[in-house]
Amino acid sequence: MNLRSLIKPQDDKIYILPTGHGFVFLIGIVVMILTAATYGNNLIYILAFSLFSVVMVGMVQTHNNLRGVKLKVIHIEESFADNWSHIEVRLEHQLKAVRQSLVVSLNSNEFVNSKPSLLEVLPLQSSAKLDVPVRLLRRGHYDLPRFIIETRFPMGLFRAWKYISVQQKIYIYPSLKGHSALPLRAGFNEEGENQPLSLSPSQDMDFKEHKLHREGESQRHMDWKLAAKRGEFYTKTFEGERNQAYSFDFTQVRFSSDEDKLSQLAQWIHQVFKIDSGFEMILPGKKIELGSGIQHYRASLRELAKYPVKGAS
Amino acid sequence: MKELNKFVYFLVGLNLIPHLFDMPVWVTGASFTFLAWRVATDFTRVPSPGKWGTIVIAVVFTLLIVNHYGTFIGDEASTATLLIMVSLKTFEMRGYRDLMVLTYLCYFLLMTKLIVSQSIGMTVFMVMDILLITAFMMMYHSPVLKQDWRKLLRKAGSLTLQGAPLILILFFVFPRFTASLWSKNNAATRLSGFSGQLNPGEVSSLVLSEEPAFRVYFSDFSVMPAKMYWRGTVLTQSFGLQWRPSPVTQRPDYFRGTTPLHELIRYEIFLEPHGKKWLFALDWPVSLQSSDNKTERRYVSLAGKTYESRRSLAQREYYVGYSETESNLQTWLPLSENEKSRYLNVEGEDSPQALALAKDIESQHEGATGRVEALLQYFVENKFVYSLNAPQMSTLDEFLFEHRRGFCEHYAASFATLLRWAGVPSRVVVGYQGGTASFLSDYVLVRQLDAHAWVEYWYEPQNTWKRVDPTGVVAPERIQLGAQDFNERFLRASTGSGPTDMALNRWFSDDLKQSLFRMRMVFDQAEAAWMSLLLRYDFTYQQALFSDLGFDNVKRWQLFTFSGVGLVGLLIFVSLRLSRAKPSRPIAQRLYSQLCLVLAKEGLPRRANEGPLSYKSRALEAFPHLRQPLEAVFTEILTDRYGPPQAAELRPPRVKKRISELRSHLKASKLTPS
Repeated sequence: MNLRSLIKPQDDKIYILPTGHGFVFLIGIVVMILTAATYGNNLIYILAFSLFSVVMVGMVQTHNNLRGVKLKVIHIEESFADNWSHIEVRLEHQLKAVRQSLVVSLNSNEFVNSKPSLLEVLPLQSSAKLDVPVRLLRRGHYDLPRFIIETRFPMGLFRAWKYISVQQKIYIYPSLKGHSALPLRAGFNEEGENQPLSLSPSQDMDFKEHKLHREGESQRHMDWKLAAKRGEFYTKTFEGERNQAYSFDFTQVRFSSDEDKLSQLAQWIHQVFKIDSGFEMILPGKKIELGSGIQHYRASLRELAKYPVKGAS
Repeated sequence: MKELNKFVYFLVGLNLIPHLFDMPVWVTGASFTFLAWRVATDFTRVPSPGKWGTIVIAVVFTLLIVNHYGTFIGDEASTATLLIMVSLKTFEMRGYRDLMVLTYLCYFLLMTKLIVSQSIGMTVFMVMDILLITAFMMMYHSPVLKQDWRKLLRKAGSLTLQGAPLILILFFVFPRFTASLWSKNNAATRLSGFSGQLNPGEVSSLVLSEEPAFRVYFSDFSVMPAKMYWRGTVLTQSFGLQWRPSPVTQRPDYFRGTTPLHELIRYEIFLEPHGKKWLFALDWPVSLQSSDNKTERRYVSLAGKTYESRRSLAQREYYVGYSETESNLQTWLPLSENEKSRYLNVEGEDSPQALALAKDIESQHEGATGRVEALLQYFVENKFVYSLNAPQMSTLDEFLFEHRRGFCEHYAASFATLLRWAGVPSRVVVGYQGGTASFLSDYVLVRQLDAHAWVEYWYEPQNTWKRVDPTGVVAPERIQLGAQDFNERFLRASTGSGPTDMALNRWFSDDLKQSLFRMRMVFDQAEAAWMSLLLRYDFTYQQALFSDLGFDNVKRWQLFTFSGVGLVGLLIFVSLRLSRAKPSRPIAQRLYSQLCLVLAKEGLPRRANEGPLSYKSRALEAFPHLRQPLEAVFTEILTDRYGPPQAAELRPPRVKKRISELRSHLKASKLTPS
């Protein structure tokens, strides 16, 4: 066993240190003992020793409050980058004691965990569910970092904590960015037979309104006449874009950076999912077949999440 | 966090209360006002002073405190500062941090009070306070306990109790330091009243001081504390109300007694350092011996059977005294005419009425005893009042015929002067009277408030000095109860100019008074025992305790190491105990395996892969006649283990009973031939 493995924090071991308040409290006790010595006052000695014993018993209780507490991840609600994902964990212990005020967070700089989750009480020999919200700024397929269970119960003078490693991974989808307007639907008929993509709106779609054209949008629906009139570019949108199937092609998205393209795709997928339509997605070297529903939605977003970063092998 | 504020206000308020008794009214008044103001800002629309307002108030009060005490760092000044600052701090309570800080500042409010008072009452208050502060700190950290104050108090109580062994160990083992290590308690402030003169007004400042003067350990405890007169200095020069010692170094005016030492009362005195030379001894002292057998070199015996150290006492002095309770008739040297006239001399006193009174007594009564009796009678009949709040006065006439209020010094001084005028040689003795006896051991604590003055007169026929204590006539309880009880009982309530301080007494019937008195005495005893433990327990005592345990001459660093090692040992012990505790299986699971065991014994073991439900149906098939008890047991266990959480709760004793019933049923069915 080398030194490094001694220093390296280990799972399921309980670590404990005084908090700032604990230090102040201890300094206060020293001041009291000095006062007692100055005045030869035994009652102040008793006061100081009482406080000291409260600190010591409190320390043992803080430590004890974590003993036997186990954590398991039971569900991960994936989300987009920069949004809150929710990791549902279950805390449990088999000891005949009540556990109080347990705080669960993640031991990582990457995982923003601004809202530590507090479990107020864990009754004896039982378990309780707790939601741990996390947020990541970048998409990806991450290993979950170690969880930290910590407590300052009962007096706030000590902080005890333990690390718990889990094997799960979490997908973080690309952040939702880009245009809300969906690209032209792909030319699928009801039977799902593949047909060439049409360049203009089909007959069964009615014109709805004009929208200001934004970079990256397809130019197919551009209303050139209006552009000549007003000096700005407008895109025509159509009624009846529901219950249709769409095709999203990575190469067709007109953003320069890959990340922006992925975000746009995620945006479209999210929108299509909301209106309950089907879609297919074409990534370089990979095609997601047409489908719909939550599984399809999630699988597609996961593909986006783990799409290799350009430059990286 | 905001809903917790009110608890902090409560704590601060609670810890301000004891200070009401000894801090100036303007300090406590201001503190309570700030607190009330703060509470008002929370619950009404009263504006708070804001950051700058608070700073201005703090500065103003700091100046007031410096102005009042002349310093910023003295005991009382710093207590006053603490009171003001803590109550002002309540204005800036913004979050968790301020909450915690204010909560443990309350401990310091408590501590500053303990400097002044260590009574049983204060001890009880301290325990309650520790419990409350602990409870509140737990409440800040547990949303569950916040909702259930009974549970909270129970938790806090158990936390505090669990520390009791540690408190005990630390109390007895943690090394004590003598006060002289530090600059506090120095001799100048301590015995300022005991200047070796008699100026009415000086003892009163001493009476209020609970500082120990000395401690006495008796080898054979046969004297009632009330009868203990501790001789300090003899004053021979009368100036009316003022008395001074003789300016010339006096030669001893007595023989050493002939009684062998082992027949005398032997006692050991631990004299607190007072920076002067006096040594105190029980009346009447025969011999005083220093602890290092260098008595001749270190002590000197003076006229009037008093003793002095040759050097000023800057450290605690330990010596052994031998005394007898009655003045030995043979020990005094007879007074020469020259001496007699010195003991009759009164200088510079102009009190014609008093002089006339003395001459009157002289003419009407023969002999010293008669005149002393007559004079005592005079004090009894003329409604003199014992009071600590005697007005300023300079002549005997003012005291005897105008105010008639005073404490022991007034009575001793005036009585002795009147005796001289009446032709009886007299002198005043100053020292201490009484002391607090511990009923647990043969030990008496004499404090500054026990300071006393009494009179001795020359009784020619027996050639001896006799003691007379005029205070005993005016206020007998002062002598019987000792200074502290007496002050608490009779003087504290009457600071005004009521007709008599004793009038209180007549409110009660004799019986009631008796039982009240007895109750008081029991309490006093407990109090005395507690105080004697608190005051007595010092390094010398620690050494004695450890030498009883077989560790002679233990050093401070050894005690310190011992407490450190003890603490670490205790922690290791606790952590080992905890880590050995194995997680226990849920009770339902244990009951289930018990049930399986019972069934297995009857030839129906549970299969390794079998769930409880199929096992149950197999059991029902095998023992159809036991359907009902089997159903009941299985149902109860299974519901707890697999049912919804709100389902009927499991009662282990009932299940255990059912299992054992089942077992007897099974056994019975096996015995019956099928």
